[in-house]
Amino acid sequence: MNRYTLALLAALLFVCEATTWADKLDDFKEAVNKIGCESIPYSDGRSDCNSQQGEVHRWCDGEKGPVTCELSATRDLQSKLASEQKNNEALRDKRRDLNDKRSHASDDQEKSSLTSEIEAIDKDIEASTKKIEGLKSDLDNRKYSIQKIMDTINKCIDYRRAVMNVFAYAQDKVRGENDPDIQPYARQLRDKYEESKRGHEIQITNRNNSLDDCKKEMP
Amino acid sequence: MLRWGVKHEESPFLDELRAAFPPEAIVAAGAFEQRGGTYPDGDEYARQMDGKTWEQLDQQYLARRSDALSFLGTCHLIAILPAYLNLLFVLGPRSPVPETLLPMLTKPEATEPKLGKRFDELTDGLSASQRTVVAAALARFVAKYPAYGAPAQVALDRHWNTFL
Repeated sequence: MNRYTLALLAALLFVCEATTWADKLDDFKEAVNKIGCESIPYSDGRSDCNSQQGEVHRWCDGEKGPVTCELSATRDLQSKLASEQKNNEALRDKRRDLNDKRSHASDDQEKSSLTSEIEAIDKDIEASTKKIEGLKSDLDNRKYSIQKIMDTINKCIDYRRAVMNVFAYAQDKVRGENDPDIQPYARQLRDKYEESKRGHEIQITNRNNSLDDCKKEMP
Repeated sequence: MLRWGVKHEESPFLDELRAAFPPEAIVAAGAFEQRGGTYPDGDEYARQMDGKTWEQLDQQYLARRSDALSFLGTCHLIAILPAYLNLLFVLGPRSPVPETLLPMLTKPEATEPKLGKRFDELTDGLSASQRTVVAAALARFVAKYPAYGAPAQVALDRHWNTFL
């Protein structure tokens, strides 16, 4: 490699670096006028932000399933179940009484009448037992569906946090910019990120509140 | 995409909302400047509301993007507030609206000065009739959806009951 080639390579390197610097400055100038992911002047951060936000949409907007739990439904089911179990117990007590009466009955007519009553009660007990099984199964299904909603909310929170972290990363990085031409833009971006951080935190808190509501609904 | 049931009946509450928040075209420019610089859906949300009155906005879109409430500047928040108050009843308690709207209307604890400032800006920006209609919406939500009413009741107790 001769001296001319070396000089040419050095010149090329200088041009490349100058172009990269100019591109970076342009990225910062553009970023201050943009909002959302486009306000990140680093291409890796922008790309991360867009991809995490896509997941936020998928998990928080309902595409992956509901993100709120129906409130009071568990209590309603539990109270219906308790009431039916009480009813079932009362029917069984009644049947025992009738059975006792029948075994002590002296005439056939009374025995026959008690047998008919017992048969009717047996039907009621059967219906009540079926109802109890149905309600127990509803509670099991509810447990499953609440767990599914909670999993979705947790994913939603994870991705919301990931988006917030991308901006935290960008904020750290702009804070470290020491090029005097870039610094004024970096300062604007840093303030912008700081000012809107709260919005992300509020959203995460709100989702956590929904998660707590679901936990209270878990049978 | 999940959609929430839209009930089409006109309610007397809608008339109250219209009286307190007259229909004016929203100018979306700067909507996220104050505190929404990093809101990833800000551009799209601004496009959706620009030039429309609160009644002309796409209700399903507003519900899906109710997270925007945490990023909007105070003026735009007030402009869009009647749409969200209406959605509390149009879409019911399981839409994403109450989850964001009710905490936003709840006066924060004294230990949260930044949130307190945000809340004060919002309430200071409302007229007397607008405050009354916000309080009425919260009371109506508690009465209509008792199972979901606790956060609205907290909001009433901490601030809005005064305006009823």
